[in-house]
Amino acid sequence: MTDPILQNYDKSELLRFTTAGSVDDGKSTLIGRLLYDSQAIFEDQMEAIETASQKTGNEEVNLALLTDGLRAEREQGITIDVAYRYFATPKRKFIIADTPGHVQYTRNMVTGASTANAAIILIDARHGVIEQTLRHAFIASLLQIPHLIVCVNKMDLVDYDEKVFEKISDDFMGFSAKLDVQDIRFIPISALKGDNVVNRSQKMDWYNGPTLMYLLETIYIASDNNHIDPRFPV
Amino acid sequence: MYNYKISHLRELESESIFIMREVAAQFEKPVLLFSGGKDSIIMFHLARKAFFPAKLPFPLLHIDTGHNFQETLDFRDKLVKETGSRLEVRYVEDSIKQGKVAEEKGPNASRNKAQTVTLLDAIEELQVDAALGGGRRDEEKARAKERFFSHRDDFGQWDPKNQRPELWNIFNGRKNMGEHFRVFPISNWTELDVWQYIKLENIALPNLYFTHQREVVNRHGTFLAKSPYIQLTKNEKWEMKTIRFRTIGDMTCTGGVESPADNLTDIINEIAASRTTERGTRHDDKRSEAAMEDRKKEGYF
Repeated sequence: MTDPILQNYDKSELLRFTTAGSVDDGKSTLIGRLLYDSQAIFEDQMEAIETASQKTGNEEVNLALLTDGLRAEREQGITIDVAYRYFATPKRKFIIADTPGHVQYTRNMVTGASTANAAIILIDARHGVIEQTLRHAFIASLLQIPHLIVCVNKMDLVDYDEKVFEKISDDFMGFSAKLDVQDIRFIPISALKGDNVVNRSQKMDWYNGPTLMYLLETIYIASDNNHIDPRFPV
Repeated sequence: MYNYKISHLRELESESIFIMREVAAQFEKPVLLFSGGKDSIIMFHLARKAFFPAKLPFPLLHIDTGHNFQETLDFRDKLVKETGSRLEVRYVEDSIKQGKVAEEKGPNASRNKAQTVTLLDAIEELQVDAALGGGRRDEEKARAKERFFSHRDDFGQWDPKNQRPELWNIFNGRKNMGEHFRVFPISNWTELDVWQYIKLENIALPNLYFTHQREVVNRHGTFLAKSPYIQLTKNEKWEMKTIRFRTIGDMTCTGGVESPADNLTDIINEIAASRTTERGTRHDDKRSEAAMEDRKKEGYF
């Protein structure tokens, strides 16, 4: 039996993406969820974060600890510098840059975002579009990241309400006229519970679009880089 | 117009080669840190590709703990001889004799930490301004945070809270006198990528990576090879096992896994199905949650 990931390994494409959004919008949790649901977390890593979660008194396993690798980050429960994580599905191989949300660490966010093909912008459903969301969206546009995926997170805390999602999408669309990005999509998710991340949500029948993982696997990136015209460095 | 599409392995390869050339262009005295493990061997292979048909514009530097597998050393010497590369070796034993570092005691004693001192001395002695290393971000959570060009201060220390911006493929190698950089061209590779690439390019490896019979002791779930540097505790005994190694470092901290894999295809299948990371067999990382970060801050590679 051969693993499906291995069969296409020498042909699979590479997609680099980054997560952006304000503090506590759940960037690290989302990445933890993506890795967990696509079975990219190893036993010894899981064991290590389970122990660490218990030490800090969390009831559920804190998936954010997977990427918050520095001592200071674990102590303060925030992301300070960009962390890179890797996983593969049978369709593609992914490099994720998990970036910090705090204003004072924006320069680290820029470092992580600069090499990305796609940016996931997270918005807390309870707070809607806030200043830091716009700042990160604008930086993504400035860096010329061609695809933006806006994830309205924590839908479980607003009773999976369609109206909340519509309102936030409209707000963001209003702002996006100022951005230089052609491709913007919206997905309602709950990173903590796993709705619409890898698996389709049972609680949001009103949403017919793709899950986040499906989008990441299928976004067309071959034309993003011009590999055809020769260039001569001077 | 034709369709130009490259696979992710080739994309990783070109990224690494670009960084190696960037190092040769920006720095005066780079070295390639070489331990004889598979990541070092890949680095060496990429470096040769980057500058071929010229010889490497920098020497290899091996920090010898004195606890290496003989197979690794033989492999290293053969590789150096065949390719006509330069090799510098510095010994942890010498640092211990000079009284710069004390040897650890007890059954779990390891020279892993001591080699930092020897490495920093070698960097100063050879006036190295950039040390290329085969560290990968998927290995460990502190490594996942490091830049390609990682700045080290006068004392060889890493400051994880104050790393430089690194945009696109622009790498900033500016530094003051006495400071240096650690550069990690294969940062974005995973263990699986490394093995796939070894297969794709048909790269030779020490036979430790393939299955063989060896006398080992089971300590905390990993199999440590029999050597004069390992003392048994009361309830432990040597036993014969069919094992191979997923990583190769010091004999005192590298554990083998039981495996029948004797070729690259089997190894790749085994790794894809594996539910633990390769550093799960490394005793040096299990010492505390931030073991790697602490060692890196002191100047470990």
